[in-house]
This record gives sequence, C-alpha cells and structure tokens, in this order.
Amino acid sequence: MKNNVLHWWLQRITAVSIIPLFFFIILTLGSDFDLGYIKSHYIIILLFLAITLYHSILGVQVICDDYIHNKKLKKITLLIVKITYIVTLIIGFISVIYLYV
Amino acid sequence: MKLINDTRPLSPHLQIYKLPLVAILSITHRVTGVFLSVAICMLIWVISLNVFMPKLMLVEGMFYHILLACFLLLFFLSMYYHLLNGIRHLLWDLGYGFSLLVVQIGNILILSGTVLLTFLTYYLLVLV
Repeated sequence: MKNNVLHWWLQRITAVSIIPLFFFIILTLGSDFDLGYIKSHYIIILLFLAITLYHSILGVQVICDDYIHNKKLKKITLLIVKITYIVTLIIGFISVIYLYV
Repeated sequence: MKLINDTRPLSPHLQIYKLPLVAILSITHRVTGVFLSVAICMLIWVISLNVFMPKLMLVEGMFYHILLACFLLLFFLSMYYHLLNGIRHLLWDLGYGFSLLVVQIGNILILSGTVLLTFLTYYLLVLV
C-alpha cells in the first residue's frame, strides 16, 4: 500500500471531521424526522455521507492488509468494497439532490 | 514444522491468555468499525429507497419493527462506542494517556459514555 503517512493523516482528519457532523445531525433531527429534514440540511448530510464513507474505506484498507495475505485476493476485495461504496455514495447523492430539487 | 500431535497454542494465545479490558475494547473498536461500515451502506440504501418509493414507509416504520429497532440500537451503540474509543486513539496519537490509571479511567468513561449517549439519542429521537 503506497503513501502510508497520507493514509494515516487522512484517517485522523476525516475522523475528527465526522464528530461535529454526526452530533449536529443527531441534535437537529428531532423526533419528527421526515424527508423534509434531508431537504433543509442537504449540505451537512452530503458532507457526512462522503466523509464517513471515505473514513470507512481507509479503515477497510487496514483490515484487508491485516487479514488477507494473498495479494491478488486483497486487491480484488478492496476493489469490490470500493465499487460498492462509490455506488452507495452515488445513490445517496442522487436521493439528496432529488429531494432538494 | 508441524507434527500431527502438535497442539501447542499459537500466538496471540487466546485460548490461555486472559486479555486486559483495554485489549478487548481495542478489538471491539475494529469490529464496530466493520459493522458501522456495513450498516451505513444499508442505511443509505434504505433511506434512498424510501425517497424514491415513499409508499413503502421504510424510514417511518424503522423504530417500530422489532428487527429494525434492534438493528438501529446496535447501530447507535456501535457508533458511539467507535466515536469515544476513536477519541481515545486520537489522544494516544497526541502522546497522552498511556499510563495504566488513565487507560483504566478511559475504559470506564468509554463504556459508560456509550450507554449514556445511546440513551440520550433515543430520548431525543424517540421520546421527545
């Protein structure tokens, strides 16, 4: 895995960024949450989705490095997970934009 | 060289070693990370499905169906646990908190904080 120092820093930076985003969402959600909430807070939600999924893929890279020893299998697993995340992120973005418009 | 009667334990000797609490919490941090990764993907899919097919009423019914309620409870517990233990990791990265006393205090704070924050979240989201 190339560029380990950048990976380490990005993992910490994304982690710190998620903390205020998550608490903001929990505090502003309230008990009457519906789709109108997504429409009015779309920026925070998009940021939260993107940064969380990126933090998650960084962690999954570490796990694949630790537990999968076959190089080819590791690359394939990582590729499958990355593709799943990109698809999920696109679907999330489309839903939020669709609600906003 | 592995002989047929070789039953000696292999590192990390989980069969014979009683791990300290901080080690158990460390592996739990990783487990919750994996669970949250899967759960966040599933939540995004469910909410997106709700956006495009609102008649299924997936999000509104989430707290009332027993399996989904358990899943959400696990999600919040994992999220807060991973968050609090992550903060401890960040403090470790800054070089603070390696003494045994601070680690043990941190264990208690993290475990109680997880339960507390989950209760608070449910209070805010369900009961208020």
